[in-house]
Amino acid sequence: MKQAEFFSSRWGLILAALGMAVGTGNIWRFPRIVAQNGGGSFLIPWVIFLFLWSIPLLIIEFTIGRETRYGTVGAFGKFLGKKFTWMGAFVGFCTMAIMFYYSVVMGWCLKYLVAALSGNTGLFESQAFWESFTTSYQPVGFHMLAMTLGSFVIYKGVVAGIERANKILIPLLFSLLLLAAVRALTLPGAMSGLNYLFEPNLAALLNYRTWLEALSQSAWSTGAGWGLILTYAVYMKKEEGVVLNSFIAGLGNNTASLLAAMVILPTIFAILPYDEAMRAMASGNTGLTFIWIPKLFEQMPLGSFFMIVFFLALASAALSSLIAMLELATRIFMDAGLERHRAILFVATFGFLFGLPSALSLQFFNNQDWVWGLGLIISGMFFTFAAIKYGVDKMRTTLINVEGNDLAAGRWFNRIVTFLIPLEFVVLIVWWSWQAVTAYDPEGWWNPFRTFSLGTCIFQWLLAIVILVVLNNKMFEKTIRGS
Amino acid sequence: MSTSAIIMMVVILGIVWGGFVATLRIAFVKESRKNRK
Repeated sequence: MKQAEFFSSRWGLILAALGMAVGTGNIWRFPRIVAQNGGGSFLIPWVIFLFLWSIPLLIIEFTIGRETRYGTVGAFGKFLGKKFTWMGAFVGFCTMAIMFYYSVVMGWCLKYLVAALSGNTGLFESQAFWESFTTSYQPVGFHMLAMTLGSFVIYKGVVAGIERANKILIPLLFSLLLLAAVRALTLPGAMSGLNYLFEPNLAALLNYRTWLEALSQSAWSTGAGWGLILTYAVYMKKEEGVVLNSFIAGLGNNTASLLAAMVILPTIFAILPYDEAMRAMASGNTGLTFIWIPKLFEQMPLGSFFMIVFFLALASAALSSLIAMLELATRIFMDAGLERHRAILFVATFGFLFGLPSALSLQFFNNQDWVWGLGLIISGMFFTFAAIKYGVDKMRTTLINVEGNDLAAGRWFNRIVTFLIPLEFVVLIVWWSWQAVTAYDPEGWWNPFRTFSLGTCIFQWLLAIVILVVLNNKMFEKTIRGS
Repeated sequence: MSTSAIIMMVVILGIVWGGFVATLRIAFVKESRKNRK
């Protein structure tokens, strides 16, 4: 297949990769998880796992995408052989399933941005505002708006759409976070929040939970193993190196996370007493963002302005990640023979329709977030399997350390991919399954129709895998043979 | 802020922010050289 579209420059690719990696999780999950897991002690394993999980997986994704020039389905078929096409389809399906409800999340961000911009004082009655919003039909309209915005970018193509959008969104996002961090750090009492963020605590560092939460955060936050970087790598030039780009994406993602934590924690600790601050942190992603944040900004000088800054940053982060997910889905259908404009119309239509249940029911939304968020760990393992089956050392020497690569991958890459990532995978899957059985739903953990059960994960994963295995040969023929 | 928190802040920001800026700089230098050729 002749690849016709490319990013116009390396900076276009780097900004798109940053846009993919930095999402709502950096802003609404990371600060919460740091605060609940020992502050500074959490940061040590979190940085370690950036190098022992996220960056090696990003390198694998970049390499397979650049080498095969196919989206996830075709990439696995071409790289590993026909019978492994279903694995790429699972990776693609898992990210698409996330895309369906992620568009709903972006819709929520847009709603709060509009409310903040219009000076809607109802926002300050945050619990009532959130409940009246989520129990109405408004999330459907905002979900449609989010899907339309993202699809318009993809419709315009790689350079005029993805590259141009990220050239605006990423500098805007970092500038807004920086501005908000300056405001937060100059609040009276903000230093106690900063101290909490960085204060190491030996007991927390020795607690296995801290390490598991750090690994989970690293696995979900950088977008490694989602197939998104693989998709963007389809449009990178052959002579561009993959190792340096992976380090930039991973470190840039963690830079944004730290900035977000330096906004949220100092603000919370400056305004709320310690116990209430911890209660806010324990209120979940949506509770913290849509209920506590408006309350905090209400009590802050220039709060209305900084609420706009915060929700604009959140919406920018959501849009840049949604664009990457839409492109992943569009690329798969383009590989199957559709031209870009038709493919995105198709993806946007079914993306909107399949996102509707999450827009209308928070319970359905939570179930999908639980099932496919955990499914991403399986996707990450499929990428590792691909590297191991191909030969990690062969991949490193013949596909990664080639002419034009500006940072060589040493033998450390072989050891991490062959031993550490599979071990991390087993630990993560066992840990989250154990959590489901003992903490989330001890009564009905086996029940496939409960929101947070282990049964619902296994049921939905198996259903997807069985269908994709049945369709394996057809997908291969359509994607590889048809191109 | 306590001394240990300050040390931790310097180390973590040094690795993450320092690493991000350093890798961006390497990419910038490489691209400039490539464009000059």
